[in-house]
Amino acid sequence: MQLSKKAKIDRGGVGAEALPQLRQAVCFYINGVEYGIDVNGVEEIIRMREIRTGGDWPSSVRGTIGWREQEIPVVDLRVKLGSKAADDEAEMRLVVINYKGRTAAVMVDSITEVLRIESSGVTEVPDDEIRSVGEYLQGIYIEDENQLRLLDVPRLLGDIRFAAVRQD
Amino acid sequence: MKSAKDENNPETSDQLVERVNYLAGEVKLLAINLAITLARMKGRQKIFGGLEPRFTELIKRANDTAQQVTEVLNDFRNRRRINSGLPASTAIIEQRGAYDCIEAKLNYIHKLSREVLEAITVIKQQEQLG
Repeated sequence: MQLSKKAKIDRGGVGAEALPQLRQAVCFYINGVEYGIDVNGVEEIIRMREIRTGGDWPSSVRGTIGWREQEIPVVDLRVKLGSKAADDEAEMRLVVINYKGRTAAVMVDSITEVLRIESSGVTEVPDDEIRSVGEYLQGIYIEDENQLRLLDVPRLLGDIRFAAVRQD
Repeated sequence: MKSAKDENNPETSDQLVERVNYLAGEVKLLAINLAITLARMKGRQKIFGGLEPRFTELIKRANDTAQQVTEVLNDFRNRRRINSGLPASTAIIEQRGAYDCIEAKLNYIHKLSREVLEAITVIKQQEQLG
């Protein structure tokens, strides 16, 4: 894979060097691509449940669900990452994430594992991906022939106005 | 759950596969959530106290269902052994595939359940030491 120094510059320094604290990641598939989220940003994995639609949300937010006595927004990661929504959502899973008290659930196709990450194995995001989904990626973890795209939780939640839901 | 007596009904094996698939999904969710909890604990082991009843209950349900399915599987195998000299009908071949699928899922459930129980044991030991 061709990696570019430009990646780090374009992303304001949020590249491999920004990840020494990352130790474990919750891994999941979206549209056949494996992604990971730092385990410290993940509250729980739950099955799909009824989503209450309505409200003034970005297009990638499908509505809200009740979770531990809160109403939290549900982000369709397929849409967020530029794909079309899944035809059959019954077997999808919801990853409940939290960043600085802002909680949301993200829809993923399937969960694979909780993986221990070696920081030295995290590389920068290549140019072609920066143009598409790069703004949501922290880096790419490479192990043998497998690639895990590490998602940036603050950026994923960045355009959601959390004032619209109750927070603890 | 339907009994092994209904094995000639094609719906029985489909329902079993569906049920075992769901169970395997539940146990996998449990194992992943436990792994997340462990990774986030960092010395705050007492958090586990509130979660343990959920883990234990799910594992108990997984084991109960696994036991029931195992009984159905064994019964099916005994019948297959008795009828081994007869040509297999399409329905029976389909059922064999379903039961092979169930067996694989049961092994998966068993493996995950064991890992979860081992993790619970380790946490309890840490709590006692702490």
